[in-house]
Amino acid sequence: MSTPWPSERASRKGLAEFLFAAVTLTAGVVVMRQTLLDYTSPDAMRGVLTGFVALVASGFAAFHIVRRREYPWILGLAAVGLLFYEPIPGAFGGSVFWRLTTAVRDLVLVGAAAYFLRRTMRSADELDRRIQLEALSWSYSLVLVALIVHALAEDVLPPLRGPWVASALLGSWVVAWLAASTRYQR
Amino acid sequence: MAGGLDPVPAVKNRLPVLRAERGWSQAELAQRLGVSRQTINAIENGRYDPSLPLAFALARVFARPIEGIFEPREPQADGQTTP
Repeated sequence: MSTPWPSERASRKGLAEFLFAAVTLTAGVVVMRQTLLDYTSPDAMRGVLTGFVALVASGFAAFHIVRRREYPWILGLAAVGLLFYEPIPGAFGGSVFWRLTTAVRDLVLVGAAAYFLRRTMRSADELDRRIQLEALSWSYSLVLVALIVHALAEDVLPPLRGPWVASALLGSWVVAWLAASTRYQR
Repeated sequence: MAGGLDPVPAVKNRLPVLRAERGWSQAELAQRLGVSRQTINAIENGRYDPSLPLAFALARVFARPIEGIFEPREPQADGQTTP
């Protein structure tokens, strides 16, 4: 028996594209970062090209998701992108250019997510708005609890970065949204 | 099973019967009402009670009074509604 999929707003095909976009985004960022940290290596050009191709592939998959207006997957992708949002001097050997490039790259992704969320909230019907509200309340609650737990154990945990919190909010919202959608479709 | 976090609607409805009488799919009815197919599915499965405006829209689409589509569930002794 096939399991009913929770919503057309985030289809199975969209899930496959989201996973592809998330993997290629991660791979692209990691390869680019490694290459740029050691740009005197003879393999540097190949690394840059590989990272660039991976980022383009990720962008292509993201474009497909946007075209089908499956905004939950865009929010999920923004959550992944925010994990790499580190426009700090140390991460790029002090290069202001790459620092700004990284900042713009992820801000575009998060800005697009916010834009599509706002647009879709306007066109959502009453059940969808209710589901989104439930998902937001779960997301905020879970992240708040996680922040309190972190505060209690900050001596043994790594320091918290702002983008991680934003990523957790978006990521937990997508998961809570899928869970809430499923409850109404059983 | 409807317990814990599961939504428990307070009304029963004849939506599947009325829709079948007209030969409409869930998607077709959703389009007539300007809502998503998931919303129709959730109402038919008793997972969600529509708002008053949507209930009136359903009454208009099926040319019936609201009471001809929806009826309240009987409350049980423990305050829950019957499935």
